[in-house]
Amino acid sequence: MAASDNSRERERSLEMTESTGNGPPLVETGGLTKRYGRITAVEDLDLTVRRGEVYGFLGPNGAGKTTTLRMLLGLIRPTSGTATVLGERPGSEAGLSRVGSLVESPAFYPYLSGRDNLAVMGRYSGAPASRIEEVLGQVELSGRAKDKFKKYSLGMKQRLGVAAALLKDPELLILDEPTNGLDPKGMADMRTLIRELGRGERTVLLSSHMLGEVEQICNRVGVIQHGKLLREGTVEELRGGEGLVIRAEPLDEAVGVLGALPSVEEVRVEGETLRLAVDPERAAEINQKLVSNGVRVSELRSSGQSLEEVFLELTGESADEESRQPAAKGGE
Amino acid sequence: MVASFSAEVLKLRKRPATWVLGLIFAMVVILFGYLFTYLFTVNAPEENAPPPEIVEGFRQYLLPEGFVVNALINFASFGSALTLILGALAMGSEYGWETFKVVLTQRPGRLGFFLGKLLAIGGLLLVLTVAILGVGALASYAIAGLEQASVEWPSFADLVRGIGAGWLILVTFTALGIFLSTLLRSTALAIGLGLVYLLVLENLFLGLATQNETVQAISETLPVKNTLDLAESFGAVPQGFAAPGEAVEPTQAVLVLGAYAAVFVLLSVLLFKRRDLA
Ligand SMILES: Nc1ncnc2c1ncn2[C@@H]1O[C@H](COP(=O)(O)OP(=O)(O)O)[C@@H](O)[C@H]1O
Ligand SMILES: [Mg+2]
Repeated sequence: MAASDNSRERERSLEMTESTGNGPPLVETGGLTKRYGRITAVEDLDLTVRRGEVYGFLGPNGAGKTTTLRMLLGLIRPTSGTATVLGERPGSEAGLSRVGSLVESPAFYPYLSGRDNLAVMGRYSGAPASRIEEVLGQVELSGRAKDKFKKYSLGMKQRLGVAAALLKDPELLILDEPTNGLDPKGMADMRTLIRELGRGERTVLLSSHMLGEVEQICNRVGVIQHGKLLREGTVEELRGGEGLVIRAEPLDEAVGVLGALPSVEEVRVEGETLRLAVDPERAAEINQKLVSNGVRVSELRSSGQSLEEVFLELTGESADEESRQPAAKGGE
Repeated sequence: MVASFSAEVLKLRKRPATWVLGLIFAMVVILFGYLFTYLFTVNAPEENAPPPEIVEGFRQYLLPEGFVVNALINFASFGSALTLILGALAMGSEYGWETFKVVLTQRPGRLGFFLGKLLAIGGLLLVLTVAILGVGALASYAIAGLEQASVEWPSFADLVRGIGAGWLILVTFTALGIFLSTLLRSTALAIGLGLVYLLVLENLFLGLATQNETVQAISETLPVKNTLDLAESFGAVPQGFAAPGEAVEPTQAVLVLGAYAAVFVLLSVLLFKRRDLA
């Protein structure tokens, strides 16, 4: 992951904390559980999505992401536990009228054109007919809107799925692995689109098994595996807080110098290295202080783990190959 | 429900299968209800022709005065199977295409969605009933022309009752198709099993009814016998086209068919409302 990505990420999460702290959560679950016979697809899940954020629901295949999202949409009933979406019971008309969703693969009437499919969905939702052309434009499908859905490529189907999700101009957008099966260009476009959609007031709940994707797009992340929520927090929080790791000689002298600096909150010696609780932005300043006091600095880095390390640590599974590769290109 | 109704109308209207089934129904009425029957009975060459009193029965059946009963007999024999397919497609396809997950997250609750769908299908069946009766009327008029017979239409009251009976017949078998496809969450299996039931089991009961009283009693509670007898109440039906044995009263037939339709619909609603859509 490029450094610029990290700092951009940080800015975004700072923005978020300002705009989201207040108000009740948009999505909240308590002890949400779904069992299929002996299989427990989702277990005792406590999830909180706040207004205005782009929430990443991250987990390997089969972790229970889709099952959770289906429960939030009222498509399947939980075995036990509670969930509220926009303050309403999942699947209630009042709630659904403000939620747009794309669950797993896009599903439409194959014999209808893209536009007619949206017209049908618009009739169901009561969205004004004028929205159809707007959302077609938003997903860049206006040119092919007259073609039958069955003639669409996977990427076009996926975009029509997003268009349908946007039809109601929803407060909450639930997208379940929207980049699944797309080629790298399609993925990049989809991510750009999602990031645009998440700007402003709209809240996005995005599930993904791809770390890079979540890292690029989301403010907060919930990590799920085997149906259980392992961690929830901002990308920064998951990385394990902010600070610097320094390898320097002589060590005692370095501790003395650093302890005298007001910006450093804490200095801890861990074997050969020092771990500082400090804003990582001050790295250059700290380096200079140490060097000017005759301490030789051989290593200085941000102490936060990469999200990938966290993910690995939490799930004990490697993120899929594809999760990293498109991330670098996908950003722009 | 209104939203779901209007969406369903758009879906049905633009669906090729709807038109294909309607056209097949119309063709079947023209070919089997009129053309072939005419060629092999009334217009048959002398040496192959049935006895004159039977020919006279067919003549009445083919002329305008008999067009309602003729059409309704075709509702029973072909319309039942075709609308079973229509019902199974209307519901089962949504399972197959997984469109429920999109549609049911738009807004309408499951009940509203389902009732809107039923209403739209009910409307379509009414249109279909009137259209097929119209096709039958035209065909009978053509026969009258060929036979140079005087044209006498059934009374207006009979026509209205005929529309009602035809619609009820189609509704019953569509409801069976909807029920099977909801139960099995599939189209193909629902159509397959539905047709096996309709074409094999029901005919078995019809055929054996005259041999055994128990079988006859069972047969009188089944949809096909009641459908045929309801059709027969609109006029004389040539031998072989009607159900064997004594006919049940039309009122009873209407009640039995209505009960079947209601139970199929009710069971479908319950199943659909309660089950997960995964
Ligand atoms: N209808 C179902 N019947 C039985 N098991 C299911 C069903 N749906 C999902 N599962 C199981 O639940 C688990 C979670 O699945 P899912 O929510 O689709 O995972 P994800 O979306 O994170 O890949 C998997 O083990 C899956 O096999
Ligand atoms: Mg999934």
